[in-house]
Amino acid sequence: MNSLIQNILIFSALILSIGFLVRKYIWIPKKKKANKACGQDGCGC
Amino acid sequence: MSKQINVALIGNPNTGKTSVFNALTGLNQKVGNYPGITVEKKEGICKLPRGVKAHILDLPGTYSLNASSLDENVVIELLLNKNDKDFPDVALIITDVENLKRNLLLFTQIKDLKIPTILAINMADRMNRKGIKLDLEILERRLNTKIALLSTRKNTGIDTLKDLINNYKTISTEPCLDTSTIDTEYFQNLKKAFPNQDLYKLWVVITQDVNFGKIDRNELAIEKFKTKSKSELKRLQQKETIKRYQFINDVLKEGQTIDTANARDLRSKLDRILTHKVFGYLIFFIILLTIFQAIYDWASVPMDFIDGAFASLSHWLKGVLPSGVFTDLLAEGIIPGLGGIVIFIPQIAFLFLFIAVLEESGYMSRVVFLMDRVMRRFGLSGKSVVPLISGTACAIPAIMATRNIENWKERLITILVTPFTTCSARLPVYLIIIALVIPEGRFIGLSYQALSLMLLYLIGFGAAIISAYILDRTLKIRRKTFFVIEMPNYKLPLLKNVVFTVIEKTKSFVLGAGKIILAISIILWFLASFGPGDQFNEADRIVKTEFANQQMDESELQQKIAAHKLEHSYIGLTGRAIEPIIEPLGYDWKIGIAIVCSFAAREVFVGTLATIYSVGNDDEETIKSRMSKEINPVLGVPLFNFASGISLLLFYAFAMQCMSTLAIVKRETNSWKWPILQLVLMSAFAYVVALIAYQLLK
Repeated sequence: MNSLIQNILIFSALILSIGFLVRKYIWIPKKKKANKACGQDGCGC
Repeated sequence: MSKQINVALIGNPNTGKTSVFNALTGLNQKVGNYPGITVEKKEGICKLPRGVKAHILDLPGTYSLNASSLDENVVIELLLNKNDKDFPDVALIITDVENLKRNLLLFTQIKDLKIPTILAINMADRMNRKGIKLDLEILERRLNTKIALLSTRKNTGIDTLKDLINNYKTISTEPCLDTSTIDTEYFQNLKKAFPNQDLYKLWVVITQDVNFGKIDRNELAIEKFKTKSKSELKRLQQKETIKRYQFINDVLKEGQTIDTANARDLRSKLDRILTHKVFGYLIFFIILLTIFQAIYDWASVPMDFIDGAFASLSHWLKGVLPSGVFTDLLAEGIIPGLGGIVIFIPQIAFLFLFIAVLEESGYMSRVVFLMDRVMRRFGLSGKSVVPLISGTACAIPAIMATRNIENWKERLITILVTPFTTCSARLPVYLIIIALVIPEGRFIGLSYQALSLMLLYLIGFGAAIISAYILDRTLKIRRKTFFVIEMPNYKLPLLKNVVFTVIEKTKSFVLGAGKIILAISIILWFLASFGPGDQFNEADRIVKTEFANQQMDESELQQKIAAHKLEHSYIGLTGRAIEPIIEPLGYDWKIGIAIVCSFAAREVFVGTLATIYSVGNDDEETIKSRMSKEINPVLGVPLFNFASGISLLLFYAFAMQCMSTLAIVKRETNSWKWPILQLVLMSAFAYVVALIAYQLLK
């Protein structure tokens, strides 16, 4: 039982970590993106 | 329910805007970024009389409403967009009593947007020393506003300012300048084309050089109104500025008197020394040495303490929690992962402490002026000096320190080349490899090993400068080549401002990069703690059978089992999989694993090798003696010989082996393009150099 709970906890941590990185860098909510470049120097911000 | 007043804090750079922000908000402030861009957004809450609260937004410093940089664009966008949740009920313009004439240009522009505008004249404590007298009554009448005379240093005038914010509705919104007088015919046409729009707002939108993120020019149909060429518009802009200065001159003639005979000025004397062609560089070099030494020496005490504390915490957790995988994850993954974040805090705090003191005192502007003539030849800015120097401690705060470089191209080049400078995480790798492959002996009293280490630092700095030169010529980013810097007055740094800066920057690192480092640590722990097949799952039985005939104590056996498991874990298999790629560099699969693991952070290299070589701790001598006995299975010679050692040193000198630096680069450039490019180019270059070195020396 103890082992099962510990396994659930570690896999939850793994999923959370992967989910966090994916959400932060791969699947970014659209509202965070700027519409256009900020200036004429093509910085792409 | 109490009402909240939106206040925008606006002003030229170096007017003490941050001090006013700190005085109004205290510690009720938070720092973030504007969505989608990397301009810092500082906001806080100020409690006003009668239970009213003010939301204070500290906007980036700007000289006028004619934006030429990302920072200035943020100010204009907010002031033109009434739908923005932060659109100010009242604008608070911070000015410096010594530069009132120049500072009032921005004031008149913002007032003409018909936003209630308060004028805060800061640094009032300097008035006597500079022989300045102000007639506030005349100034208020002529500028048609309310004025607060402040001294954040003496903490005077803040209550008056709070009262004025509370009563902002009584402030007139009458403009200072009749816009149509700039060019009567042009503005009449503009009014006919857009009868429902405010003329000055239209004019500001039309004349901007930068694109807007939130405001669509097409929606305003302004693109269709092209009655003037760009150069003609610029001419009109100049005419507007001249008209504004004529107005400001008239106002100040009545409301301000300056008795230069009373002025006691040390500034010019100090400037002559600090920007001197010889002494200027010498003084800067001494200051740098002090900072460098302090980051290394002073930070090492708290760093050692943090390291020890986290190691003890891991050990304690293993003792009190029931044994199992979650306990292992906590003790071997999460706690060391957190320790890996927290351990950087002293270095970051010390670095930003020095930067804040240098900036607050006014010295940094002199350094930037001094260094610009040198750095410009390599496509960098004078302001790139700070990140390049601080990169020798850690690339993460160094990249964060590029934020004050206004020019995007120069800032980007600085971000891209800073990881070449030898950071402290490379040191453990350099020290152990040098000790293994560089012979003991001396040259003019200096040991070969010390000279090798110094050479590696020079190689790193040289690589940064040369790659900056190449990037400057290859990156197709337009940039304006002028360099304008304001030389602020010298002043004693305000302790409150310095402390706030250190807290804010450190918090930004821990909460920003820290979460990423922690997530990666958990994933790395997983890959090192699990593996497919019997070789991993039956490691206990396999090792016990293999060493059944040998005399071995329990701890030695456990180390063998751990090493066997690691070899057959997912990360171990990765090491095996990359062996054909790294073999031409003189490395085996074990070094391969260490390289893969140290992708998270370079210093992991030594720790990983320690585990692989079955050494129970990270003591360098122990690892060293074990590593020196390792034999290359293919060639039958010591694995760590001169050729493979130099190859490994050069690989670490150039490779982008730092996940957290990549995360920071992503955050600072707001794009994956640059960190990926940095990773690919630096790794490819490191590989080629290491390959050539090994093949030539073997």
